[in-house]
Amino acid sequence: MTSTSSDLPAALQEAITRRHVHDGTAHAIVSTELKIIHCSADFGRFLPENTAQIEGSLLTSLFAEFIGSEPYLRALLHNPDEHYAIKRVNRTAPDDSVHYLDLELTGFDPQRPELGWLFTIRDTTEVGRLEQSLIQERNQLRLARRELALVNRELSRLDQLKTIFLSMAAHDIRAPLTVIRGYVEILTSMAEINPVDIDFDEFAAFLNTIRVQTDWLDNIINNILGLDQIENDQLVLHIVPCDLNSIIMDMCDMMQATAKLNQRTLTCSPADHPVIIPGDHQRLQQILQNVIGNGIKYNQTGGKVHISLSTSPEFAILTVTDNGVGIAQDQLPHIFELYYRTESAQKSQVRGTGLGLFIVKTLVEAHKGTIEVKSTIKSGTTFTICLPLLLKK
Amino acid sequence: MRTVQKKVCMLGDFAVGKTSTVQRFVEGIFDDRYLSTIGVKINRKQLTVDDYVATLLIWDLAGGDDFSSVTQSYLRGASGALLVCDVTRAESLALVERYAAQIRSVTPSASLILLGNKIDLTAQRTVSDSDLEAFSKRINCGWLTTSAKTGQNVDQAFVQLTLQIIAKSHLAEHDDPAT
Repeated sequence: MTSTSSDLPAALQEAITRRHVHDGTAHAIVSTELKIIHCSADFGRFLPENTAQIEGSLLTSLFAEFIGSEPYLRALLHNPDEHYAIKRVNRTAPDDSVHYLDLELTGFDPQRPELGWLFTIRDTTEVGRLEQSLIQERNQLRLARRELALVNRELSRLDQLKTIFLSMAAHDIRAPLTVIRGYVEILTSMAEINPVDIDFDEFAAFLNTIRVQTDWLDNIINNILGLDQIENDQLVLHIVPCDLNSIIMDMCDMMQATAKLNQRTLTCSPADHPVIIPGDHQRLQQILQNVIGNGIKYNQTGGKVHISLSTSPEFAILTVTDNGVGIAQDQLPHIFELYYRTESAQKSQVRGTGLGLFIVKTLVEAHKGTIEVKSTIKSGTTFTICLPLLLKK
Repeated sequence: MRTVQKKVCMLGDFAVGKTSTVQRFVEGIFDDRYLSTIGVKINRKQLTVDDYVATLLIWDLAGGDDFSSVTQSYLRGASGALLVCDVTRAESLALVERYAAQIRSVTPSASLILLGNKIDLTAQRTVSDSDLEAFSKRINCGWLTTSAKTGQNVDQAFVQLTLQIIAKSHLAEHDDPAT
């Protein structure tokens, strides 16, 4: 059965047709065929300007919001307790401003479904905009809170790592100090008990051990100070022309004692000419001490560490290769991260703070250079450091 | 060519990129600013798939954890939905399950596709392909990774959803010759 205008009380038709909107609402009578039969005078203001015909048009052709809901709407006509409402329908005006409408369909009389529906449009732009801005703020707060939680988690992780680092650093400083103190006591007693029969070779070997342990201590302290400067943005390089060739030869000599003490072989293939780069002499030594030190530490008895220096037209190319324990491929991307220690390093008895390679990378980059690493488990690791030459060839 | 008109919904947590995905698909543009949607915004887009000219009525719904009856009423008559999560926010994936349950309670036959959006934010990504794969199996739907920013897979998502909807309509026609 289809509703027609004659089915509705004349007074109601009249009231709806003549009604002028002063409260932001408009009404229409919708037939059971979903056609608009009557509408209030300013119903058209909720439709696009080029809408030619309202009365007689299908509701779904003017309001796409009802497409797909037709079966439910028909069922609604028989249910006195239900109405169909779509709240906060967004409409974008030609000036790109967003307006909000509430659309509502209510059956006229559940006893007489043939009368169709009363369709009400309510302009809720004002309250909609307020609601939108509140939800926008709420959502942005939620996003900010989430960001904050992530940053907090990262800070807690770093704080935890720092605690671990401090305990490791304390242990690392105490260990060489214990060795130094022990040897000093031995040397003192040797001198006190029988100064005449001192075995000078043994004496020199003990002094050498003390020197190695002092170098180790020096490296730890330099790294801690370096980290402090990096973290506080206070890393200052004193750049002067440096001969990298002579620096690597000096470092190779200096670290021979450490290599021997650990039963490793340290060799060096310098370039056959001076390799001048703009650099900070002390920092370049720190880079080498860390990389060579790792090659010695993460190696086995009888292991080898080799340093070589060559040049390309623009760069000094320094490689440090060892035949040590190697680094797993999935851990390689992380080895330059602060406090990072590989799983094998953590499991091993080798002391380490997770500072060295972070500082190395920071210092290499501060010299406008690059560092790369290649490694194979149980075969060894090669670090390649490229530093710009003072004068390009 | 046959013509069809289908209602599809965009569902997911707030700020996952539902509106941006629709904007990319319908207008081919992307706006970096985040503007929360309230209520519903309906867009139309016609596309040709196989022998069909399909007009999609895309209901872009407000996101968030509101699963009230009001939201439920918006889902009536939907033939399908894109369930959107943000691959940089794992919690947005968890919410998808509730949206899937909600639309299936209203329209059990709705076709669904899970979208892992913001795939361009590689460094911040916390939801992996295998997470999406496992999740889509749980809610029994297909999945795609998308970027409303670059447009990656956005058209593909709507085309696939339309194909699924049409395939289901076919099956329904064959099951019930009267329709």
